Amino acid sequence: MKYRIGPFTISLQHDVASFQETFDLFYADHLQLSTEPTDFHVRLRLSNSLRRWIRPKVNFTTDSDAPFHPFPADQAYPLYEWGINWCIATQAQQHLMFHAAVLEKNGHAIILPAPPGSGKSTLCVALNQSGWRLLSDEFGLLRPETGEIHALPRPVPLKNASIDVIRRWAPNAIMGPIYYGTRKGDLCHVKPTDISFTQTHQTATPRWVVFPQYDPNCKTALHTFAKGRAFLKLSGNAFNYPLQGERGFNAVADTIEQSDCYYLPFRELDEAIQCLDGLSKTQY
Amino acid sequence: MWQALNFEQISCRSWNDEFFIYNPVTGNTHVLNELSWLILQHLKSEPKTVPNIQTLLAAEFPDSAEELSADMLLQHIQQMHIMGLVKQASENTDWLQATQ
Repeated sequence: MKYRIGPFTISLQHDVASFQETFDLFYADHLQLSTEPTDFHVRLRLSNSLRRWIRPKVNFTTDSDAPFHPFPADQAYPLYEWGINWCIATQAQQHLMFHAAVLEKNGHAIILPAPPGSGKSTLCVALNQSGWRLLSDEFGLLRPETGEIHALPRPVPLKNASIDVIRRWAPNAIMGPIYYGTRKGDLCHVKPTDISFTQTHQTATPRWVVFPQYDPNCKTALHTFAKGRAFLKLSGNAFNYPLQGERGFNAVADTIEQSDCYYLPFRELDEAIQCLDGLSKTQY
Repeated sequence: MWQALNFEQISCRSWNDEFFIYNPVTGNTHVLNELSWLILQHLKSEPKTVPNIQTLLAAEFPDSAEELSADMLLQHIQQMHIMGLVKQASENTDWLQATQ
């Protein structure tokens, strides 16, 4: 199977029956088959010999690499998504890659750089379900030549308590199976809204950089963040900033220059969304 | 005598009186305050001593002349030396290439 996700063409082979059903849940109705040159050759294969029947394991390989130890076969789908993350992070150096959620509204992109545990993915899903187009939950792909962010719509992984938070908050969201006891805890993926797929080809211009932080004891509010400090946080957040050299420096600086920067401690998703919707209504 | 190193190659952006420098020789990014940036500007064309710089800055900022001590200026220069942005005029800077 050869298909396109965002700017990447992926060739996938697998022999894991349970994997296809979950893959189809998230991708089948928007899958773009492709004849373009392949960026990532990916294989999911059950381990050979007795392992196929006794606590079966699945392996993720790409070309000559096997970047992970074998996973339990019933975790083939999360392994696939982590494997694609690995492919992008190690090979897509034509992009400056932020560890950030990126969404778009009214033609403007909001970049939400955040470390694990900040509530980024939960907020990302909530914004998407509220009408923001998802460009990416994990990788903010910025092309230094243009300053535009490219869309990479993929299911958003929620972990542990966040799963029930979104189930209650967005009961109509399409959620996949829960994988218990993965290396990142309990895991469940949420399908992006249709517009996130149908407008994949549309890039977006950064307009806001917002550093979110979930804190159940805080008062939700947007706080202006000094651009110099925002530059340091955003450049430090970019996976491949050191590799990009001067063009990466200028790309981050241009992004900060053209963006309003904020810190957003938030207690409730509705409150955070109200703050960010308010930004999107600002006339530019 | 001190001198700026590869000044013409560095990239600089500024927000709120801070200067963010990318040095392509080392591949590092640095933050300079306004005083360090002013010192670097004065060192870009030809080597200068600390007293030279002190005199130039005192002429530019007469109200602050008394605060611009030689010790303080030297401290700023030494910090930039560690960053690889300045060198002593006779210094061999091959060590910088190893940090890339």
